[in-house]
Amino acid sequence: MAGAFPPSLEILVTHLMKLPTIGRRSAERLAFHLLKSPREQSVELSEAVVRMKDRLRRCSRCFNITEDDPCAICRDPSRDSKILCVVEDAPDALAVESAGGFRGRYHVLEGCLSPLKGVTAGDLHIAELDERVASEGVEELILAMNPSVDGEATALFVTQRYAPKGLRLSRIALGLPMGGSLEYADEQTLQHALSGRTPISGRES
Amino acid sequence: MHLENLTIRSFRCLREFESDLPPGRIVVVGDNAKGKTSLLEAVFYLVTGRSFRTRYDNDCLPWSSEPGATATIRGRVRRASEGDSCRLAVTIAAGTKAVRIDDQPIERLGELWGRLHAVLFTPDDLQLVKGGPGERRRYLDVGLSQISHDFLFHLQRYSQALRQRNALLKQNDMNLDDLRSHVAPWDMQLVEHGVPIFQARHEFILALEPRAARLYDGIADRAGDATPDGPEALRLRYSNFLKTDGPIDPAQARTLFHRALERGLDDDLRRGQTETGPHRDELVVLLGGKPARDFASQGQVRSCVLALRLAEVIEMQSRTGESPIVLLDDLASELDPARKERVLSLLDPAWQTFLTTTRESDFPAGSEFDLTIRLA
Repeated sequence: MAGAFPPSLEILVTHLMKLPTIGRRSAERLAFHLLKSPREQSVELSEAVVRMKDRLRRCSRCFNITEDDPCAICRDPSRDSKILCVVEDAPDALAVESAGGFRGRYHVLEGCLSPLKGVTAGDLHIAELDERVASEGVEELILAMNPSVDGEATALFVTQRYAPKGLRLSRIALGLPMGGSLEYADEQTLQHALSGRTPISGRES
Repeated sequence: MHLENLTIRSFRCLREFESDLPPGRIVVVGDNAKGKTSLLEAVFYLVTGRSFRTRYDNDCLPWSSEPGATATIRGRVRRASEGDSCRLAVTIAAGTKAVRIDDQPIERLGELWGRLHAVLFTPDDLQLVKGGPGERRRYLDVGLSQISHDFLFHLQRYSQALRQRNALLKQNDMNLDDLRSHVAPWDMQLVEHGVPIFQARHEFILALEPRAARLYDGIADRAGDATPDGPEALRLRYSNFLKTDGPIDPAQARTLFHRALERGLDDDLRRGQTETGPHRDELVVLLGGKPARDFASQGQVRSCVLALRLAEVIEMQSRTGESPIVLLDDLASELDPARKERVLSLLDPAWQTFLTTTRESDFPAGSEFDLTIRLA
């Protein structure tokens, strides 16, 4: 069946299949879609892919993805340099940034601790975080790692490293999705939401 | 709870099976290699999303299947308490498996657990008493995971953290200080998830013991000398990593576990694995004060295993208000006629119970079944 495809089509299908979640069927559908659409669309698509690859790099300060180094956030003087939001990878930083409301800066670790995958602190941007904490007057770290076992371990590792240095450390709250209903939350989410509850009145215990 | 309906297609030697099912006793009759055990295996797929016979889903595709063949298992579960039903479906094709709940695909197998509760007895089950500690940990964990999402959550997180810690211990390019700071985050998670596992197992064993002891007396017919210290009395001991007999305050348990991990680090490094924790727990089954694993006869082992399985049924029922379905594979060949009759009398007729056999005459005359399934 596959042998019936003209070589150039077959090559495109093979490349598309290397993308995540794309199987043979989806790859064929995408390829036929491109075949039927105007030539410019294919040119623009291929140029966009190459441009993205050529222009994007890691910011040398926070390791977020950027076209200019240092990145816009690191260059922006109105951002609060005393607060760093530490995340596992670039998509997490982009997610926090798109949410809005955060006026500090970021530090992207480019991964999380996983001995099984051979990832230790030396493979993350921990040494660079040491440097920033020492030189940029950082007072607070917000740990925004994923609530997975590996993300938790990374947050705990960062905590034990910087807590003795007198930094303010916080872990982003895990809890209920907005628009969700208590009734449908799973047990672990509810437990976390309860143990991480925010006081609104009364004595501090 | 019970299965109201079961459909199996292209699963091992079962090409096409569909039946409505009554809540009570169901006998599955057929010659060898006609798919009796496969039918129970298919039901168990709806419980755990896995086979109890093989680690490889592909083994469950029919031998002569053409490429692209798909095995399908569907069942409708009726709960006693909520009155509503849910539909479970597992499809297996070469290299892939999909599980759906009410036609919605699920992302993690953990979401399936708890939808259908079941307890299984197979002829291989003698390993539950005779085999290694892992068999008995699995007995506790499979039961608890079905009735508590919380337990399953901690168990999964614990085993992930354990694998990471063990991988770290095998890394030999780190100095000791560096290693300590890398081990600490995994230790904290082992403690966070290990202590709830310990507590849940402890309470479960305490609740199972009197039930299992009574059932064992019933199966072995030792009504005459059924005292807790009698010559053949069944007792359960939880031999755990905290080395405690009674329940223990969680804060204290966390401190003890943490200290044990820290103290054991040198040993762990030498062996390249974590030597202390609930993954090393043992459920000791005692008969007349002696470990059944070493001293029990074949007949005693069979009675023990059945007592443990049925105790689990009763305990799961008492905790959730739902009786699990009971899957008994080839019970008849396992027991002498007198024990067989006593076991049958211990099965609550309200439990949905699947019994497989090669001959219906294996069951005592007058045994009543709500449905007979014949596999040919």
